[in-house]
Amino acid sequence: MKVGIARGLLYYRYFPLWQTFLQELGCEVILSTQTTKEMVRQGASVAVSDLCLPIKAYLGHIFSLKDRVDLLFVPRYISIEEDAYMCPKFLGLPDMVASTIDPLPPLIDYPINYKGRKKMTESLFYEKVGKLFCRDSRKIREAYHMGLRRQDTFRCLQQSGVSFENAMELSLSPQDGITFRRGMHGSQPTIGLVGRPYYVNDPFLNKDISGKLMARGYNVITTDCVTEAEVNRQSGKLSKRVYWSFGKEMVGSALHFAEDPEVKGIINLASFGCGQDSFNWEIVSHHVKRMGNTPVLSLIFDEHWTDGGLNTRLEAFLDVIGRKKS
Amino acid sequence: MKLSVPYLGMLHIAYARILRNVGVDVVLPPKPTRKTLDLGTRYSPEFACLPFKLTLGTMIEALESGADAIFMPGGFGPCRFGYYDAVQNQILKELGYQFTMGSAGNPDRLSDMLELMRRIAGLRTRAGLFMLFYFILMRLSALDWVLKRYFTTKPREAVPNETDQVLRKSVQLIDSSVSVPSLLRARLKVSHWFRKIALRNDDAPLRIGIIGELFMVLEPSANTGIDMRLARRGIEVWKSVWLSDWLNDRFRFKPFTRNQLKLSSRHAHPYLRYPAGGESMESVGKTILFAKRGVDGIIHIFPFTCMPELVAQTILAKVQRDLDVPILTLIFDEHTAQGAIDTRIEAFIDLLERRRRSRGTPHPKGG
Repeated sequence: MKVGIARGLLYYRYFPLWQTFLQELGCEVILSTQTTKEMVRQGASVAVSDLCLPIKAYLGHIFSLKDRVDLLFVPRYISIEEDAYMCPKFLGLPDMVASTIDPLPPLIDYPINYKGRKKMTESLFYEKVGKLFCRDSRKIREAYHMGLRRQDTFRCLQQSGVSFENAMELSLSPQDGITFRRGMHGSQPTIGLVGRPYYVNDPFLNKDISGKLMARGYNVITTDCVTEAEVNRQSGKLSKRVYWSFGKEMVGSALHFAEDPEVKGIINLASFGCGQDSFNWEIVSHHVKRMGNTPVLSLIFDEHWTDGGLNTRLEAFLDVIGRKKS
Repeated sequence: MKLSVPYLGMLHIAYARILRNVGVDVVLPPKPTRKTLDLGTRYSPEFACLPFKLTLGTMIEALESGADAIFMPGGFGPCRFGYYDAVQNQILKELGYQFTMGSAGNPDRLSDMLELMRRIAGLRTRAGLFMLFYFILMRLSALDWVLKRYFTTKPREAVPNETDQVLRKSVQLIDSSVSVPSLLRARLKVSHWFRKIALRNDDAPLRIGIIGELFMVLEPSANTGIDMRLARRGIEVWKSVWLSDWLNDRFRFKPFTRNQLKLSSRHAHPYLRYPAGGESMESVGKTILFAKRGVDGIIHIFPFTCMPELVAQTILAKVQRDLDVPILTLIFDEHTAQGAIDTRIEAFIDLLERRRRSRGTPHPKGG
């Protein structure tokens, strides 16, 4: 059985778990390639024009997969913790995919939901997905726990400063002697990248901003590197808790970076027309201003961004940081 | 305490007199205008939605006219509306206004709403608070009922503007009914007035369903009064959301009205299987329901960058193809001009009229 997974959105957070689980149950996991211009074009051509860039790219990924797989894995992530939702677009993601792309292989679109009366915890979700491929519930449980272990390794590696690509590689095939591409070592100044995992880690969507920063001699630390406990501690300072999981991570990590004297500047990555980030960023910039004046830059991405525009803004921002240091 | 609540349709008529009667100083700022929106836009995040900007502008005007307490319900997602109170509080405090921002802990819970009423009205007994809250809800539902009757009667009236006069009279009567018996009597009287309106006996009017985000569908200053303009052009307007129905889903005060969210989700099920926040489920479900009841066209309105309605819009594209019902999507932001909206509506109405003529079938009954 070939199961397709799109390299977009929550792939950047949950792939080790998804892949391990499905492979342990004997599925062949087909992952789409890195985001390409063609994918974004194709996604944008079927999507409603005001949808955000990551969703358009996601639809493009589905296009590239749909003829090669028997099943598509498009879970409906409603909420992953009791006091927070995901973005409304995730709540309707399988329905959006099903109503824009036709024909389509069957979708695995069970919900994950920790809210309300129709609770569906993660373990229940995987039990249900597992039942599609295997009757033996012990085997399903084992596959799930195996996946969880890899997922934990992945997140721990990320939180200790390992880059996304390396963490993914290491967690899926443990090995020695890997050289870290990014790290918090060295005397180079550090920039904090704040954004959703699918922005910060997709070099096509963000025009390889971390590569650009590193080429100019900066260390990069991202939202993914901040632990959950720290996110909760930082976002607990707000007058009202942020009820979006990724929103909370972004606010929490931005405040964490603002407190950290090693972090010389904060860059926020957001989509054009992103509803949540308009509020999150308003809160972040308000608090960061109060906390000690770390320079902040907010970059809004859409499918029309060019490298040149990004370079100009980055250089101006790095000039500000450089001037502050001296 | 001088309390002010941003405008939303006829909500202010429902609560103002009642709260004043129990001694609350209610400030009603001027009705939102272009200037209000400009004011709100100036201090809002760029991608905040139109309701946010408009209510922020209204709050500033209320504070300027002497209010020192503002109520914004708040909530806990997934729509942005739940976070309005925190962000607006932060922006207004940064501008230097001194006031308290009141919000209900969780506006979907009765106990939190009663607690809020206690803070506002200062009543002690739970029974008193309960009565106060439910009486406001009853007045609101009476007002919505009047407006619904207006939308069905207006396109059929024989004497121009008779319905408008009845509407004005009815709203005044309901506004002045401050007890349950008088409200019930008022409803009978209003019903009588509406029945007495002389109707024309010619073609069935076009029917257009207005669906979308609650604030945009209900607040005339946000949607440029699109519903009234359609009604005046002789078109029957159905709306997917009413404030009293929306509240009824939560507080069950209309015994004969079904839970609209459940109703919508039953109809929407093949297309949208879980509410994506806001009014996405109502938008999809009611479009399908309206189409089954023989609506001629649907106008989908929502603010620019509205997340739930974008999900609905994506799905409605398929619904439109499957059910063969024309949908016009109007996205509002601070740059929207009434002229541009009118042009698009005119073209849409032309299309609907032509569709009906070309089919030549008698109009299906129901509604």
